[in-house]
Amino acid sequence: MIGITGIGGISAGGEFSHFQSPLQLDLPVLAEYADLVDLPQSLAGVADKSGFKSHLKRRKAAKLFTPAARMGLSAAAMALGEAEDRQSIGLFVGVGREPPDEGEAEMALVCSERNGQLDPLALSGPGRDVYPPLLPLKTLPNMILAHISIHLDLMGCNGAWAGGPDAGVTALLAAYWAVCEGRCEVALAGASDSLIDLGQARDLLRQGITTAPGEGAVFMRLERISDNRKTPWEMEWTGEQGAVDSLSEEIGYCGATDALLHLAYVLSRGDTFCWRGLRFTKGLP
Amino acid sequence: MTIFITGMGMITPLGEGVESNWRSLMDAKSGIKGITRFDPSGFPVRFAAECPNVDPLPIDNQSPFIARQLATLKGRLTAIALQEALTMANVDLSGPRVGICLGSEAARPDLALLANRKKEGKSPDLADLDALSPDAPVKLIQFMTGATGPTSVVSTACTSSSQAIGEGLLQLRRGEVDAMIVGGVDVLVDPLMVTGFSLLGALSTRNDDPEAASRPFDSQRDGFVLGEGAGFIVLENEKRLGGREPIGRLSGYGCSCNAYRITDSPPDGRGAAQSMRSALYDAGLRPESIGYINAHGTSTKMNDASETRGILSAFGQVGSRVPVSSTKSMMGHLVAACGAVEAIVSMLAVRNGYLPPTRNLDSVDPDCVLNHIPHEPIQSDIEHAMTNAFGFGGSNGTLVVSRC
Repeated sequence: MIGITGIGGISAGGEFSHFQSPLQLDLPVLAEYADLVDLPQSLAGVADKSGFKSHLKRRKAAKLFTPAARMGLSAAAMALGEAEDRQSIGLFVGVGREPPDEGEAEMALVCSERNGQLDPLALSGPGRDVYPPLLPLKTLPNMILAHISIHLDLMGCNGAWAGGPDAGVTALLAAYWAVCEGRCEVALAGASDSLIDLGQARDLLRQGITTAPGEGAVFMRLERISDNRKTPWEMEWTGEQGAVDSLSEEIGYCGATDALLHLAYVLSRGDTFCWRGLRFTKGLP
Repeated sequence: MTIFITGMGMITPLGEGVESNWRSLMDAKSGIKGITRFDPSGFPVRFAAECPNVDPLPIDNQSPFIARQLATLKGRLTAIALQEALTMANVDLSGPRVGICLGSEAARPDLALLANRKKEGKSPDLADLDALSPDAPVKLIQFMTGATGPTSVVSTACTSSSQAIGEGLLQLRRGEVDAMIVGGVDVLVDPLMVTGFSLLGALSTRNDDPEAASRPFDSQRDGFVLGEGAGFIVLENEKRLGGREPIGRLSGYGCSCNAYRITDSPPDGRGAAQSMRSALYDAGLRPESIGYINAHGTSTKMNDASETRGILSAFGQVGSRVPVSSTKSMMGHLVAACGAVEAIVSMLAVRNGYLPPTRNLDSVDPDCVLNHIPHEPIQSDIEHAMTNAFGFGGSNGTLVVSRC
């Protein structure tokens, strides 16, 4: 039997962990977001991302963290709890589209203009002088996985899946099978995504997604459990296809994390749930 | 459960097609030249491993999305490599029992697109957005094959396609599907990437002699060479095979994280060793069974030394005897595509009984002492080959391919 023995999450509704502090949705959490005031829709679900620094091995590593990486590390640390033998723990992460470069590369692009056009030769000169050297790495999709593995010392089997809202689900399924098949005893599975910057918000509108943009991360700790051990939730593959829902109306659209946030919410309410072939059942009290 | 390789296709800086690439590897040719895609004259690095210019495949009944995909180099490379794999497999790959697992990064916006966004202060049009999505090639693969089974996209930088192949293997063993189309594609030779990676100090700057720039395990190596390409593999279970003759078997997959640093590899090679050990365990093989390792071998100081320690650690007493080469010395670093392309090269080594060399390996670095294959291929009848892929951020993937 595979049990979910920890959940950590962060979104516009706040932090939630270990089923003790379920996501609170009774208060409105969407708010006007200054970065989006020029858009027809300026609400966003913004999370408090400051907690990640307490999990860093080296404080200066913070400069390499995108917003999604900050939330991912916080949520993963909450879900993991006090784990021993971390080196064999698996890590499976759903990620969104990497954030566009032009935010931090703005100055380099400005310096690379000639006659109103971006010019490769100018980029190689004045543009290069102000180009952030770590930018190509910082925005790689697998950096969330990398940061979590580095700062939580996880060395087991792993993967980072991209591709929109399904990415988190794919990661959860991969983790479930990794534990079932004995490739790791414990796995962390989750997703982290942030869609609240101006470029991403514009892109969502262009795609016809009028829900307010949001951001969030959810991680779950999965492990094989013996028959007599207590676990908050059990999960097993049944092939049943339950409905996939979203909390985007409440906390904003969270891309790769959207479906997992909903799953965490349902689990925190104590409902038995079938979803994408997996059945989640409340475990022993 | 035995999983067979029934089709392979590739396009790399060495050329188009599996057999063409193999001949170039046997001749130790280099695909690394001066950059032609943009004017590199002001850049600190002015060479790369570019793929040959290729025209879009004549594909009927294209939707606007497919047409947009085929207008991009990434789409064209995908289509060409995939078409070769499909032709080689020579089997219907449509339907819900055929899945797709792709190793791919998000496409980077090019300079023209960035300029437009900056000037107009608006998003690109929807077609551009779709084309930039990491799963854009998946839709092209679905269109070309009719596969409607599960799809996923692994994005772990240089490990992406190695892990995509491994995940496809696991899905087949689990019985989720009967066939998988797996592989990867990447296109990185653009001004922003050359700027970024050269600022990181990761690229070779041997502008006066590009063909000598990628020299894995050599004492004079000074960085990797950016490349681009695509590789695709058709995997099938025994039930589907019928009377067809497979090329070989995909027999093992392992992966790990370094949990070390974003840009550096651990000097003791611990993550690499763990990945190789888990692949051996998964394949049910002992280290002495492996007849060849196609190393990740990027030609950077840290990677090659770390991988050497990893091989010696994982293989124990036979670590210094197993033949090793890095074909990046000829192809450059294909990043998200390298795992797939090098898995194909490893399968060819098993099938053909020749092990490709490491070009430019004139003087082995004392920190990289292994049983290298310098300059020329060697003949060797082997049963099993291993191929490594290690990514920025510390993701490691290892595959084992075997004779039938």
